[in-house]
Amino acid sequence: MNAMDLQSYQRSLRRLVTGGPPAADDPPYVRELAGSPRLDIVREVIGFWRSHALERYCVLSAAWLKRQGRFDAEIRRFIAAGDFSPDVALAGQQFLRQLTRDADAVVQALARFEIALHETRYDPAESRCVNWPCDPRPVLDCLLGGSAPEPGGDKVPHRVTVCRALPGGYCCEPLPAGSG
Amino acid sequence: MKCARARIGTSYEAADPAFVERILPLVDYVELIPDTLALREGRRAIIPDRTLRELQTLAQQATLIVHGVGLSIGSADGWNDDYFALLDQLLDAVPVAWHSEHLAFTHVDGRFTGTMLALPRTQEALELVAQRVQHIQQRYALPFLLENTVNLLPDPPAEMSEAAFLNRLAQQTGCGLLLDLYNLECNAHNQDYDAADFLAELDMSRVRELHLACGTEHGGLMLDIHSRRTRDSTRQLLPQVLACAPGVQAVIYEVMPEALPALGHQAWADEIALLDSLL
Repeated sequence: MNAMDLQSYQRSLRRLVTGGPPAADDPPYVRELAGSPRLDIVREVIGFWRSHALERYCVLSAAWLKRQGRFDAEIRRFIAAGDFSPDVALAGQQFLRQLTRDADAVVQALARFEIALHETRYDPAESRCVNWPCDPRPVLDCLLGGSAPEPGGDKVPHRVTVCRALPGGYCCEPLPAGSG
Repeated sequence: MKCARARIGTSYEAADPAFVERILPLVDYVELIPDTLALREGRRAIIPDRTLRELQTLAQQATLIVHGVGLSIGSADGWNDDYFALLDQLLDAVPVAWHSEHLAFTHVDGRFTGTMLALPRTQEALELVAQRVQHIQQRYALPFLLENTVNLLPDPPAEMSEAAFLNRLAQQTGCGLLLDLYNLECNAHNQDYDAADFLAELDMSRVRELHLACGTEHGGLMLDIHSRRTRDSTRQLLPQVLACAPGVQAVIYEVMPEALPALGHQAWADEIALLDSLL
């Protein structure tokens, strides 16, 4: 197709629709596509379906990021990172792993907490421990109850144990000073 | 002219008691998408036993057909083998009259594109897909159909028209065609061509199944979302197509579960009854 084989065409197209730039050696069609408003719509469609899926799997993390006005940007970063699954559960796990490397320690802890919830949800004998940079309860209460978190909040690191057998699915305790 | 063999059906993604109670009695065909029936077990996707048992019960009341979204039949570097594992599991458990896939690609170098993308209509793409259709036909003793897909992007340089591409695939492989009338409307709008020209060129003798659906318009483009009742313009195509496609056996109304909270089961049932009245 005008000096572009199918494999090269598909690689160029995938790079573009997932948010990347055209390459210098792309043919005119691909370079023109990079400036097309239709490409923006395809990117929106891809973002919409990923958002829809990840909101269902990563309920807490998605809600927290939305409260911070960061969800859409994180979805774009997730798509641009390259290797995401069409499967909701796998994509959800990938997204949560991305968030465990976030600069915000609360976002990191919440993502680890949500991973732990998924890993323990079928077996009451399974448990996971997640360290938080603060008391997690105001954050979780805010997400589950819809209330606004207390400004400032408690900055005492906590250890959270996630286990389906526990009342409410988790318990937490302050970490001894210097162990956080 | 009324097509004597066409019967109504709809898409279904399992575990919906209201479907079984209110929709199933209205249809002759139930179309299943293996990818949406599957759950993850570690790294592997499987269709749960409870879902297979439900489908075995459905099979006593309707003819099951399978429609793939995840095969990525047009990927130059290879298709998605995981899809075959799901299809094998499904076909081992329930009787299926035929199966189909979109003429598109969803993976490149094993990585998901995030959406279904149309193939460039070139000789290279034609030969690739024809080989793969033949492989599928050898692997499964079932009729296999290819569906026309929506292209939101500007049409890439092509060596043949969309209808000619489908015709040549059908002629070379003997596969059937699944003609999605809403996709046709979307492409006619998005690519600025006349749906009548496409229909006049398409080899209607190859069409075994029709899809009808409705989505939304965004940024001046028609999107294939399966979220609404069909438009008048889509329904008007139905008798025209049936009149010249005598091999059509199933007319499927597609709706996605995510749309049901807004659409409702009553509207779903009403739409099926309306379409059935046109057959």
